[in-house]
Amino acid sequence: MRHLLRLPSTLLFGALLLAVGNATPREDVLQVSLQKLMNVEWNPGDELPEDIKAYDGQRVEISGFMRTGTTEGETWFDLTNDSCGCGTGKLQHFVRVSLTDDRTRFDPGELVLTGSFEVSEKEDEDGFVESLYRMKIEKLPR
Amino acid sequence: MRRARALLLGSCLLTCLGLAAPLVSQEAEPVDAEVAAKAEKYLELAQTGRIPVRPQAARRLIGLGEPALERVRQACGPEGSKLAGLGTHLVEVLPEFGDAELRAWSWRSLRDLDFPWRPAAARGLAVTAVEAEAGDYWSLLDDHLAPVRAAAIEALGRVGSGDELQRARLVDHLQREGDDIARRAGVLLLDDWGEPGYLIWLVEDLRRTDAYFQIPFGEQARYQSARALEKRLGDLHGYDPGTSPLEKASAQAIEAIAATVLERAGGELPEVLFRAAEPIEGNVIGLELRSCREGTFFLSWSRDDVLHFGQAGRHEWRLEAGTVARLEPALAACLAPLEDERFWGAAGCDLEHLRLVDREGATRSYLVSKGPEAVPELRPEALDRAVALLVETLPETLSPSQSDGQLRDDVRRALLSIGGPLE
Repeated sequence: MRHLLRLPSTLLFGALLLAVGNATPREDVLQVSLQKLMNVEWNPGDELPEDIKAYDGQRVEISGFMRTGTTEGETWFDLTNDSCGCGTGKLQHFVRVSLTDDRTRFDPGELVLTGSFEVSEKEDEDGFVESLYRMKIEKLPR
Repeated sequence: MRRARALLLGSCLLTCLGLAAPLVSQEAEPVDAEVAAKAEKYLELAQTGRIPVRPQAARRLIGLGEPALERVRQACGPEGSKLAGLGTHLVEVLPEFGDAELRAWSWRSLRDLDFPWRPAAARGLAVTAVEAEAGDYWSLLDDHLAPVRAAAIEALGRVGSGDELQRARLVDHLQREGDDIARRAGVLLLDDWGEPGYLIWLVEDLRRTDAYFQIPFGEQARYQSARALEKRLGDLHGYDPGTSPLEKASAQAIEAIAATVLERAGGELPEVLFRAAEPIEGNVIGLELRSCREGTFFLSWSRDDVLHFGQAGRHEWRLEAGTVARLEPALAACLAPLEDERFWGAAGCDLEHLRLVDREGATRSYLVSKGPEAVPELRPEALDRAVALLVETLPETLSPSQSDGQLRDDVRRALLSIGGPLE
């Protein structure tokens, strides 16, 4: 009888674990839309929406374009929603991508990147916000 | 006695002032020097700093007030002759200094069709618009640059009366407005002016799935219109712009939003003139042009000989049968000498992007880009020849833009201002 009573709570606990697992799949790759990131209404100092902050620390897949004028041989570049990169003065309009095991070579085509994602205001030595979204990848896709 | 006392008091005061003066100047000087140094630094960062830093530095400059104003005025050159050299971010904040002369220079730059930062000048003037300028903003609705038209609409939100006549004038303009951002700004202004029914045009955006090659303009419009509608209507019934509008839950949410707009409009809605666009099938050649002075063009040629142009490819033109089949090998032959080279120039507000899709669906891109200054022979000869072949297929008699120009002439002008003359 005791076991029977325990069964519903065990099932409930299991279901909860599954639900939590689905909400925060730390090991899975999340598909993130650059459009969603770009359309956040945000100014330096503002709080970011919870659903955007939830990407912090996640492994994500995101597609976009290398900003025109990216210098060759660098260890980073900005990923924008089109090759023009127009209007990317806004911090929510680009993802700063760091390469851990590669150097930049400009490619005007679409890039699909997978790596670890970071969301927070990163300031320079003068207190200017330099980036809001950052991503670390090993290499550029060939 | 009274005179002696006055003299004594006077000498005391002078002594005190004499003592105090060096203290005051000693205190004031470092503050002024610090502000001046900051103004210098922000001025430089706003022009040549890292791209995300530039607009922030320009804003900080305004915060410095008078000392920065003097320095900025100096940077503008005699009679504002060096305004173009300041770059887009500084031009945008100039009117916010509240200085009549800077404002006059901004207006002069906006009226100069060769000024490279006209949209920035228009935005700066719009956020500080004054009633006396209302007529000028109405005139700007006919400008050939969409961001200038969008800024003019924003300005009218500040200085327009929104009376019946003005509402009718704005509706008349929006029925011809081909740009998403300007149209969205106009719809929101009509809502502010008591005409909420036009929000239904934004609801139509929620159904868009169009794209220009890999650029998801439809999804972009869904996000932007959803954000605008949420501010006006509150609840969007669970609508998620990141989900396809073809999915049942999205479609139901869109219907619910449309019902809310209908109710808000008192049961009567205007006709939806810009139906939600879908992806264009079979596009194999694309020519995207973004010119600081001549505007933006998105042209695409599909395998079934249809030329699409305008945002969301809303305009189409039936080409002579076999045109694209002839173009594909001709373009390949023109471009062969370029081998793996894909990019010419440097980042800037002018850009030409040629896309070719092969039989396997892979896209090859060729990019030419530069800032506002002319760069002789920027576009390589091979690309010249390829682009010239495409321009030859454009109709001469069609006028898709707000200007009186024709498509082929407009495109030629844009190409000339970006990569230079063809051949």
